[in-house]
Amino acid sequence: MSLKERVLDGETLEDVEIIDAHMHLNEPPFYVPSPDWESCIKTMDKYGISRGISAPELGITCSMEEGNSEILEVSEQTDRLLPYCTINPHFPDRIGPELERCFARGAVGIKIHPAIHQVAITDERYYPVYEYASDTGKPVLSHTWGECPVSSPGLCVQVAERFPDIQFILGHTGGTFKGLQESIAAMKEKPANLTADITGSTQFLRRIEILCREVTAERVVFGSDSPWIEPGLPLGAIVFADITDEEKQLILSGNIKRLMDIGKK
Amino acid sequence: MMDLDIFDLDIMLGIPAVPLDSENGYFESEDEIAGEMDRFAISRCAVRHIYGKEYSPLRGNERLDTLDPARIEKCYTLLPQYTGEMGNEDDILEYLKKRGVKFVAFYPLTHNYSFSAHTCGPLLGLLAETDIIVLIEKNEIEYEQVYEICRHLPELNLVILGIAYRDNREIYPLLTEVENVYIGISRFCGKGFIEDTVNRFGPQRLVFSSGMPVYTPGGPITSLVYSDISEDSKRMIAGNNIRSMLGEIDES
Repeated sequence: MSLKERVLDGETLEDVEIIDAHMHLNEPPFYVPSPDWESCIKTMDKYGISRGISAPELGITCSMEEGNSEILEVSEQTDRLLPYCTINPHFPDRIGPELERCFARGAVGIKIHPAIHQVAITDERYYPVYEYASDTGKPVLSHTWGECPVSSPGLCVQVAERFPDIQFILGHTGGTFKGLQESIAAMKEKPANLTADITGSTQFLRRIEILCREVTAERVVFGSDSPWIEPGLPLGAIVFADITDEEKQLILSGNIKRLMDIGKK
Repeated sequence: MMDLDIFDLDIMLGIPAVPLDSENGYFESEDEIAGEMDRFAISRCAVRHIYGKEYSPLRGNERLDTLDPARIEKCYTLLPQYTGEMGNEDDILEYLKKRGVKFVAFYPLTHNYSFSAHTCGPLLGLLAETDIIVLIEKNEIEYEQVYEICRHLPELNLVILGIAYRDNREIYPLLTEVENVYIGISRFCGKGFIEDTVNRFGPQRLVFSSGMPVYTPGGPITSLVYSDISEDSKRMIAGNNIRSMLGEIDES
């Protein structure tokens, strides 16, 4: 049976490795029934999602150190959730030590949220992040949104010009359809530096097919935004897409494993 | 394979003034809709025409009259009767009956009127006496207006489309206070929302909606299939709630 048929049958995809490249830890600023990490893992179990890479909600809002400590502690209790080190660019002197602390305790990537922090992706306050990421090969997941002055996907091109070894994951692939177009243009301009993350609520009809046609399946990763979003939403967008099951497998885990240098669990 | 017998309430036909781009965000023909229904195993749907929203309700409604009724139910756009553009309220009801219309949509914000009991109450009151289902987009209304309408017309079946993942704190009071409001699940997509809503309000309050041609049905289908609720509840949300409102089955 194809992946699509198995999903329509409600089968847990235990033999299909699925890694969620974009999760959050704990409650967002709106109602979610069970935002705790144990509940997130139960949800992952329903679908057969083996691992997720999670950024602390507190880290992208009020306290990067406290938030990062929360996800580091969770990752020490379960091997299902891997940590992003989340950075607040308003405290540039604290970025270096925080990166060192988090990666020493198992962080696999860096998360930035230019829209919440209201600091553009190109702002020099992020340079310590980009220098660290370039030196270590650790990818930077950035929230991106179409036509946003601080988080437009196109801004990542300018960063890649200055930091040619950087690996950006374009969170939400720019969110809006305009953001999708901006992401594709940016990825064509910097094919070695940019990967699209399909996370979020804006699962446009045929977005996956467009991405695979324009930038290839090798440069697209699955993410959910859980617990903000039910993983079935982006997962269904991939599974029902008119692409091969081999391409789906790359998107579901192959590409993020390569980017994050994480092996099979 | 699990047969959910999906009835999709949220499909738009026609080219909007602002499509996503020149190739995406619109269906130009019935065949395109049928093709996507086949791809996503959607057995039946209600279709609106973009002319009805962005140009002329009457012209939009005419465009729906040729659709294959075996799979596609036409959803007419209505206006309140006071300006007489569609006749008086009895004319409107006759117009719907003659054409076998089972779904109607209102666009108060776009069409410059209020979805208040004062403006829409009389027409909605007549619709409440039928099996006709009212569809309305979240961005077109205020929740307070929906509350007032549905409180006074408990027999009316009103489906709100486009409720999103940050809306629970606004929509739960409405679901608590009135029993005849239903939520399309296309964008109601937070983690555990289907289970939470079913546990609080029962499976009869959610209905399947895709949001095509803008959004993919793959997401809501997958979320529904994997939701931790009974198979019967899944079938109710997928389509049986709508069939029950239409009087085609008895889900009581």
